[in-house]
Amino acid sequence: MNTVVEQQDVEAKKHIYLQRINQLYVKIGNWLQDEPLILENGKIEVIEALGKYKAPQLTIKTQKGEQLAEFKPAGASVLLAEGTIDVEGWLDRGYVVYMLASNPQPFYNIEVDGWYWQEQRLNTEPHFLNKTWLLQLVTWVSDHEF
Amino acid sequence: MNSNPLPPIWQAYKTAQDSFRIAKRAIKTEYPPARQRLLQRTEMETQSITEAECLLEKSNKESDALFVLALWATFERFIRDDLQKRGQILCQTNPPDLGISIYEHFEKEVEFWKPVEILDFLKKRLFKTQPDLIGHAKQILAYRDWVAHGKNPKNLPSATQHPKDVFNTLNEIVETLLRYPPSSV
Repeated sequence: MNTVVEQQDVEAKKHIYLQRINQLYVKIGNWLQDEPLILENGKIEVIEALGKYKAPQLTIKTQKGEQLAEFKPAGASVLLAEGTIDVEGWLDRGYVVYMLASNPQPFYNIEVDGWYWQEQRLNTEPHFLNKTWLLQLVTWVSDHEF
Repeated sequence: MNSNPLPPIWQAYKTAQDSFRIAKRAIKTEYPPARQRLLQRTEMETQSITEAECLLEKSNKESDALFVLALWATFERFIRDDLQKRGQILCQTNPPDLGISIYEHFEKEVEFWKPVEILDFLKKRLFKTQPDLIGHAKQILAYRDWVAHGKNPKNLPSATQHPKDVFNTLNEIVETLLRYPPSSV
């Protein structure tokens, strides 16, 4: 009985995680629609504690085809958050995590549910992802200036 | 007086991360004399950009895993040392010869306590208002064990770890203990 319940729980977690990723990609598409950039959608295999499954991947390129950043989902099970996406450029990797306002954070002040870029610098609050922070994240991982 | 040993580990990790960024810029430097000057007498000097990038990326990921390992090892050493200092109060037991013997036994035994048991008794009272903090420390311990035992792909850790969260979690526990220094005997 427990196994069935646990499996349903796992599937529900994966479903919510994938839904949130898709919602983020739709927002990114809207934020970047007037920028001279190309967005490419693909799939990536996620291997994590919840199992092995496919998730949507998003690649941001310049119009000349230079790859700036790849959004690679890394799993719903992550310390202190509800899901994580690695954002990889040629220069570095950034972490975007989904955090809930209702789930008290011991270290950060989270007022809105959503995806946040969590810079790996101490004493820096996570940045709620919007167009401005997205472009800064892309610059961080690629040195590409907007 | 004890001090927090974790910030130097974080600083070393951040310096390594910055070095990866600098190295990646160096291998992409287009002006040949500048590139040669930057890469001379390194493993990357004779590699193609793709090979060097691949090497740096693997090394960067390994650095993340090793950071958790180093941070946990330093944290665990701090906790055991701290408990041993707190146990010195046992020396005040009468008669002193018995007190000292009890302390010596305690000091030796602390080295064999399982980390998860230490976290459990910290959670029971001192951190009873922050049970999640100890829960997160247990997840870090599980990740540490996974790395230390060869990253078995058939037995993945329960949660992905990002370096800053690992640091903040363990640092909070250390800072709490430092706020209540053991009484001097």
